[in-house]
Amino acid sequence: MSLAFTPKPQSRRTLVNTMFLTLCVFVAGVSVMVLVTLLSAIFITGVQGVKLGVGPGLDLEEFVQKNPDATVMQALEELASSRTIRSLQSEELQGLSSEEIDEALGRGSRRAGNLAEALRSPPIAMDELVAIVQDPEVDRTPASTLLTQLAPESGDTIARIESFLSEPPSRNPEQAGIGPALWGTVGISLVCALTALPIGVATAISMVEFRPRRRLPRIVHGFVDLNIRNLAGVPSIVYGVIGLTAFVQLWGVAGNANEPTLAIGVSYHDQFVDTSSRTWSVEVPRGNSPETEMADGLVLVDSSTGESVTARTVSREEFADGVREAGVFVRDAGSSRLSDEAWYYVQIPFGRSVLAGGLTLMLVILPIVIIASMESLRAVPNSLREGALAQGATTWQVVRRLTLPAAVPGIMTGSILAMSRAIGEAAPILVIAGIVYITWAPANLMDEFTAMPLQIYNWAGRPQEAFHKIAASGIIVLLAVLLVFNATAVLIRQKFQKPLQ
Amino acid sequence: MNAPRGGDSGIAGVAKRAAESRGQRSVSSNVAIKTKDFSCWYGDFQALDSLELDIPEHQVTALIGPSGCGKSTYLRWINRMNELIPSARAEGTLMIHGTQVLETSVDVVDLRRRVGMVFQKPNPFPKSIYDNIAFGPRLHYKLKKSEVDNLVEKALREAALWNEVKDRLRDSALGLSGGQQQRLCIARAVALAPEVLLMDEPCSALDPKSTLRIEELIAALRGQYTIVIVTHNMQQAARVSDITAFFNVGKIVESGPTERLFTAPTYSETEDYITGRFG
Repeated sequence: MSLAFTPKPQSRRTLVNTMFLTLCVFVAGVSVMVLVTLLSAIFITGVQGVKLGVGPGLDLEEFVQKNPDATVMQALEELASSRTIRSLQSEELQGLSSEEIDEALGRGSRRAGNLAEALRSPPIAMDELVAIVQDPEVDRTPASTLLTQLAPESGDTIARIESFLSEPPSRNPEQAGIGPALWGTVGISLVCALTALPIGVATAISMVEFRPRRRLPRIVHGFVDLNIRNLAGVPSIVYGVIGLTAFVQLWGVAGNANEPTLAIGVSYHDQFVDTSSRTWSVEVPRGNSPETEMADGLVLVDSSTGESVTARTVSREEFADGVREAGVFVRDAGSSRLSDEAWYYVQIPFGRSVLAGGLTLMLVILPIVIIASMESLRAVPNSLREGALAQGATTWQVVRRLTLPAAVPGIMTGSILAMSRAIGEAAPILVIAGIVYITWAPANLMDEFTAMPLQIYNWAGRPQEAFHKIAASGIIVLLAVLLVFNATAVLIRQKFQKPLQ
Repeated sequence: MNAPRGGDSGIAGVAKRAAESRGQRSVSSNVAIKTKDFSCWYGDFQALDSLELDIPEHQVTALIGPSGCGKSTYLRWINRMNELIPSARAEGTLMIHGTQVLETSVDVVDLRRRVGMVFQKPNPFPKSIYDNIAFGPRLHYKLKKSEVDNLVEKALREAALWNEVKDRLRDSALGLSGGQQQRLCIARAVALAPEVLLMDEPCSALDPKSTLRIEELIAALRGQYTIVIVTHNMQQAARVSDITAFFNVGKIVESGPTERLFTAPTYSETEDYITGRFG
């Protein structure tokens, strides 16, 4: 039986279906192409960036090509002069014993240090270098030998990847590394995940499961809900400014970062050098306390041995006369202040620290985490809640035993997306940390830091092409970190996702 | 179903035969749930108006009536599940064994332990069969593993489910059939040894065979628990209940022993409904 109306033309109705199917295939094709192009571009350039630091620098290669008969000594001089050392003489280098070179390169005296730096990018074994320099024939050894010694081996690439991951950035793209930024990113991501997840999930639970019954609280509840949804769309740089005001400066009500109101896990010492060149220190209560003045009877401690001494002071003239005794200080001896930070060092306000950065990222992703968690809690059927409540469960028991376990997969999926966004976020971190040159990995929550997106931004903004390649290498590392984070989260999610369902 | 015999035509016959098969048992004089002058509202809408009903102990009471007449609302006030709806409020007397349910000082958690509930749609938790039954007892008591084991077995036996599931207690409850799931929900409610068992159309989502099993189960539980069942199925009310209350538009039109109500209703409204002339 059919109704007695004019049927719609079948062809037009199927046409739309076909159109959308075609569109779908087309979009899938384009997206795959874009992804492949993007990844291959990043990967190829990134590999070039790392390769820059592998093998001898172009200078030496060119030098050997131009002067095929040059000796090792001349080559080394060329190598040195092409970088920062200009006054290196072959005689000087030759005169050093192997221990001396070893020590000099290890200790980092200016000239030897620069040489070490110059020689670091092609990793050359110390004894090899010593052997070359110590060779009595060295003046006559052709530079091509050095080139062979410095020539890239298969191990060099791995060594360069290691150095890229661990070394600080450098003016020289061949030596630039992403170490501090990598650890900075790990630090702020951990702070961000460990704060945003509990706060976000707890907020979502209270919004969904503990909805108020009375009129006024319900209005407030609705208002909060609306706000959270709107906050998810706020540009992240705005959060950077909020983080700067709230976390870095604490609205200026608790001093500034250099004069914190409260500091836990840090001690400050004023150090004095006595007339026998031993270093002693006096603990001072705060980082901004007035400088300790040297006086008779001041008790000082040797921090390495724990020995303590009561100071006796002498005038500068007496010192000039030759007093050289432990525990005797020149009356107007100057001090230098050192800080000793424990791993749990915390100060208020937080300053431009890992903690401030992590908390700012938390602000960025909190609305996303809350909304995702709320949605997945709402997706748990109400019949389950009623069933549990009818058994005499309290609301919290229902959450703990029923709705939360059922919602965990959804919550984790939302949180993974949010964390991925946080790791790649440059704008709020730029406001918090600024473009700073940091050569160490953060050791505690109060350390200054830099993050990978910032470092990449910094490199990509430089005029030299070599840095653009290094930026691509940095992006590869960033993606790898992202992958590790996501893989961990997916594993956790699967652990929670019981085989039931 | 047997063909009508003699003068017992239709529903009246069902009620009569059910009463006969149960044996002559007088309506218990012990009142489990006493309702007096009970009214409730959803916002401005009055759902129930000055209800009067005595539900006897250890018997089955069926609440019948057309959709929207307030019987589910009444049922859900007995364990205060209706409180979950923000606009719902109630007044009057609703007493379970002397406890005034509507008193704000009454601990809802304790009340719901004493008053179990089975819902229209089977709602097993997404957990194993074992954990579904153990859920309630674990909420209220500190239990050793062996004690939980015993409780689970006892509840499943009471709900006539033990033989079907004893080999797969650790499997998901969601893998059971609809009828089994509903019996699991009954077992879950029974596990807490409630004084009152509320059933809100427990068979409306089930096939006739599963329905029959649930009805057998209700018959078996009768005598141990005070059961209040809401149903749209007249036959079912006639088959399983001792007392029937007919609701219409927020009031109880008529209540009394099932056999009497179905054979000789006092009001024409009741007769029209049970004979299917309206509703």
